[in-house]
Amino acid sequence: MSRKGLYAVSTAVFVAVVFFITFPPITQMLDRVRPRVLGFPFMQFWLLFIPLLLSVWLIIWFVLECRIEDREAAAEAEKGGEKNE
Amino acid sequence: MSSSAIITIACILGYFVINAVFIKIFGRKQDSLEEFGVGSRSFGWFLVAFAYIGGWYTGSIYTGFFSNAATLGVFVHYGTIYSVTSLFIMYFMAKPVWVLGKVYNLETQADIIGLRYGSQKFKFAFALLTLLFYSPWLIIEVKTIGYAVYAATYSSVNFNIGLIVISAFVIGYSFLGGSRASAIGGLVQGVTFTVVGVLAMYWLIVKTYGGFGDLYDKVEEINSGLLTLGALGGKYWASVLITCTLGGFVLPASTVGLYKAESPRAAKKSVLITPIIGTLISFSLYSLGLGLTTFEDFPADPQSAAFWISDKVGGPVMVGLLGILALAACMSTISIVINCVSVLIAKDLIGTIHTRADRQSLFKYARTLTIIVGVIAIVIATRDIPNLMFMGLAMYDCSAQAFPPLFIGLFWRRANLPGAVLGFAVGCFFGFAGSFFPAAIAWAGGCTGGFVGLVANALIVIVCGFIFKPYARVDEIFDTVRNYKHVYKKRAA
Repeated sequence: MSRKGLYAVSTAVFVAVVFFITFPPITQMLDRVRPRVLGFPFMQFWLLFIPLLLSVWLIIWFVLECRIEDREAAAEAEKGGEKNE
Repeated sequence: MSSSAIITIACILGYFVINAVFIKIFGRKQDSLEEFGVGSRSFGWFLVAFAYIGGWYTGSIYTGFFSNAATLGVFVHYGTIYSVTSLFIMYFMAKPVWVLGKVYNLETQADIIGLRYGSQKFKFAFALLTLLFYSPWLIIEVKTIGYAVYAATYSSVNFNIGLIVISAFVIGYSFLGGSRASAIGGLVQGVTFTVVGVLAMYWLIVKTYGGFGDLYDKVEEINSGLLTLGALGGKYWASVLITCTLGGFVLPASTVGLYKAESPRAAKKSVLITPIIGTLISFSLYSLGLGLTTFEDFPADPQSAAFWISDKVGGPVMVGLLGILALAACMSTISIVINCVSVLIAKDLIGTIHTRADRQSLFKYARTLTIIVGVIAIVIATRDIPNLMFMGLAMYDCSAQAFPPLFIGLFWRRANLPGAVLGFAVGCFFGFAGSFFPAAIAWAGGCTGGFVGLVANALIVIVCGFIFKPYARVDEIFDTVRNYKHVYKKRAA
């Protein structure tokens, strides 16, 4: 995946999650105590799940971006080496 | 003075010594504006992460926000969510902000605005307004110190004396050590309320309710409304969350935090721990507060609820510990805000008027201003200010209006000065009107003034982008960011 592609996916994830947690008809649908999920009241579960989900995505985003940056730097260094030769 | 008060005072003094030792060991001589304002752009990712956590989590999470958890229920978790969503904004902004800071010697948020739109007048107005919007939080934090000391010492230490002594300590190390001392203090304080704080909250939850399951059972039985957003849901919830998400990372100190990193990657790497730690801090604290109104002896002043339950369950040692946690959160925020504000006044206000002042003079102004700003904050905080928390939240709606000119300006070449000025002005107007004259935006059907302002602000920036010409140097600025590897290597060499 290219850096642009990664940023596009991250933007989509961010917009989708923010939309999901803020769009009034959806939040009204989620705004209930029952059923319990993993012992948490339903709404409380979502209010904990969303930040954890985003936290995990931020970590994935960082790791993937580092890989892309390192790959680009290696390719650039290789190009520089070829020119010098 | 009671033995309980002596125990808590001893805990607090011991913690002060630990802070002072760390700041002394890892501090550096302050000899330039870059070192004083942004730590010579040399902070590793761990320091960036904890400086962020220290600055972001204010002491009022143990008073005002905690009382909101008890009285409003799960609505208060908007804070848990936007602490993470605003990190997305940080991630997007990290590279352009850092690169422009490095290449053009930027030390403040208004510096980027001045550079991007090529207007010193707009930079001055922007800096002045963000200073006004930001200052209530400094007063709130200084006041929270007085409150924490007063509550933690069982009213043995006078509110104002506690406030003055501890604030003077923070001002002192901010003056001597600049942003590096703020960050090291933030690291010590951030680790304290992260590790000790989360464990202490979990222990209190188990002792108070028996565990999370029992907590939710009890709340559902007695007041199940606390487990849903209820009337606070819908458009209000959406506007608060969106405004906080977009506004969170355009607070002056948050943006400046990006300059302090040793590279854009160091700034971004902070996401490895910051969001999860932030979620744990907020979730554990607000969960403890959630069920407290089910107790018959819940205090009349809900702001003291955290100290009340600590005393009830854990005695003076737990009260002392909570006092330390609240003070740690206050101190780290105050130090970072005072440092940011003093550099802002020196560089963006004095430096813009007094154009002949060199960077060394601005450094001296900034250092002196640390004392002046701190003393003014203390003097104001000792006064009785009604509705201070409301003012802080209202001003947040205005602070968030920095988002469209800053964020859109960083990523869209056509964003221009007329759009930024008009958008910011209109956004601030709605933010202000929505808080102080809510009837004026009744037509928005429950949306907050800050949210309405953000929408109008962003639309104006975009529409003006198509009408007016962009700034002449915009290509040079964008190319600098795009070719940052080249620029970075060139400057490093």
